[in-house]
Amino acid sequence: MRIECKNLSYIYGQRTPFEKTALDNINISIESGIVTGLIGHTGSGKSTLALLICGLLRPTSGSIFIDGEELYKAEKDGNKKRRGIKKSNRKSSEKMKFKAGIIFQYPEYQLFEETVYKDIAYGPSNMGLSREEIDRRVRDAAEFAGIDSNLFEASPFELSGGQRRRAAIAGIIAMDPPVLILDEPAAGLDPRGRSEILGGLREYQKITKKTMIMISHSMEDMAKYADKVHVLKNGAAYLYGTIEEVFSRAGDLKKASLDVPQITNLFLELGERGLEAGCGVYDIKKARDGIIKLLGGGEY
Amino acid sequence: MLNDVTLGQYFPGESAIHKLDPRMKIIITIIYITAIFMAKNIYVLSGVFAVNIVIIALSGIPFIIILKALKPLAFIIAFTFIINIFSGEIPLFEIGFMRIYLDGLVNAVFVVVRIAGLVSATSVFISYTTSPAMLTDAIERLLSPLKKIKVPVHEFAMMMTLALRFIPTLIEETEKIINAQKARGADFYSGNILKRAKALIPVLIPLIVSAFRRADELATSMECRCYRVGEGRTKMKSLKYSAGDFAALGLAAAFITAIIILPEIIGGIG
Ligand SMILES: Nc1ncnc2c1ncn2[C@@H]1O[C@H](COP(=O)(O)OP(=O)(O)O)[C@@H](O)[C@H]1O
Ligand SMILES: [Mg+2]
Repeated sequence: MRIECKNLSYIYGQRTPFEKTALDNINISIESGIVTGLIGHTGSGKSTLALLICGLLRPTSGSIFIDGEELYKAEKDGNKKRRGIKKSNRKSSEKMKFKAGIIFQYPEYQLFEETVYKDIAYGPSNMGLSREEIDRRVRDAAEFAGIDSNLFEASPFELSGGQRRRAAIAGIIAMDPPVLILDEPAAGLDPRGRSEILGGLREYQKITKKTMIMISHSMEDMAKYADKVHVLKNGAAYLYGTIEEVFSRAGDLKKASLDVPQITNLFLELGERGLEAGCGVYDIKKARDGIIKLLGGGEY
Repeated sequence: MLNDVTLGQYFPGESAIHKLDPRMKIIITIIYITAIFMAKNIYVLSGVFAVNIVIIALSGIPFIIILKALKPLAFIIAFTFIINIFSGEIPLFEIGFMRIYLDGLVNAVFVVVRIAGLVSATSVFISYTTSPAMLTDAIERLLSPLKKIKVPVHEFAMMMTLALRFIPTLIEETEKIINAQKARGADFYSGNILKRAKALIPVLIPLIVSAFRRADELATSMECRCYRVGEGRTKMKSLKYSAGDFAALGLAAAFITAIIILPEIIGGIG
């Protein structure tokens, strides 16, 4: 699904002394069927944008289009006519329901059922699916997330931290949303746990061809998992492009207080000292090619 | 939805009122409230009210915020006003079968000004310009004589501090859990009461679990830093009265004396 944001703004606590503009007139689009990274310094508005796209927050101004269809449109028209606001309001939030699934930071905090199975089934049963369909989805999602079926009858609170997080992720995947948003679901994990969770979800995207939005403040994660990247800076859209394009502007990234990978830094400094080895070097392979080029070597 | 909860509505600032010692603020608030109820005369009451306006202006809190604090009381204020104007001895005028009395009207104005003064003064002195931490500290210090008769003042103050400290955290946490469950299709707004109450379970259980987890972590970290109750605890920020505090106390004392004495001097007007 293609998502477009037009002049989108969001202000927290409007008309109070704590007023805070989280998103300021953003115009971006998220392409269908790929992983779009959303990166920015803490507080740059990434999570707010995710909540807006899921329909969990209502824009202060501007609009969001999902496959060309505007969210909250019925309500806006209703406001104009000053009639039937309540009814249309419900409809427009319904519209987004189940289209975008979101995995939050520390998703394990949303577990509440008596058993793991019931918890994974909570989302699908809210969708009004048949018993068989729910069962099928729960089993598929659990298998994908690495939850063994002998854990189904355990209480989610008995699981280990890692298993709990997987169970929570399975609960979202079981809803099979066309758009999947990951708001730093690997927060607080060691590098190995990170790559298991994020790599697994990336794998899932490859198989299902879903539209995926991956939020992170680590450029390394972006380099590994995203196809295209939006960079946010202080609530405004700052850069957009493929990984190579964005990394080639490492100077601008630093202005947005983002840490580029060490290797990118090295090549930037080499460039400053007159050794131009091509820009956008962000992994070992590219670095090798760059060094070979600098040494005047050909293809190996 | 949860943003409407106003608890610990501290507005950080640098005004003269902000800088007063919190203990002195509590004492002055008590003096001021006494003054409001001692003012039996319309001129004196307007004086008390004028002082109130000056205090609000000094604190730098926008008037609109003060009005918001009064909003929950709007009904009570209107109700007492209406009850009062219909009772009295000196008829003013009649609307249909209803008779409005002059002394009733005066009484009504008194009641309204008193309620407004009471609420706005306490909110300016205490809730808006004193951080919850300072407030509990001040309460502990003011009540410390009770320690002599074995009232666990420090323990109560610590509990209050922790509770206040965690209210915003829990509100934030509740918001996050609500969002997470909404994204999983939870519906809090439709169906009958029973259905809606049931819809809260997915929010309440994670919230309780996380509150216990936090309490546990907090207890561990306090123990790790050797927290214990008892004699000889010192404070990092110990409260100290400054010259300004005594000046403020002096003003307050002069103010209440004037309120008691002035009507005697002016003699029976109003
Ligand atoms: N519930 C909230 N109430 C008030 N301000 C908020 C709230 N959530 C976020 N903010 C503010 O909005 C800005 C953007 O926050 P967020 O979208 O969470 O950023 P990110 O996810 O990029 O770290 C921050 O300055 C933050 O302080
Ligand atoms: Mg965030």
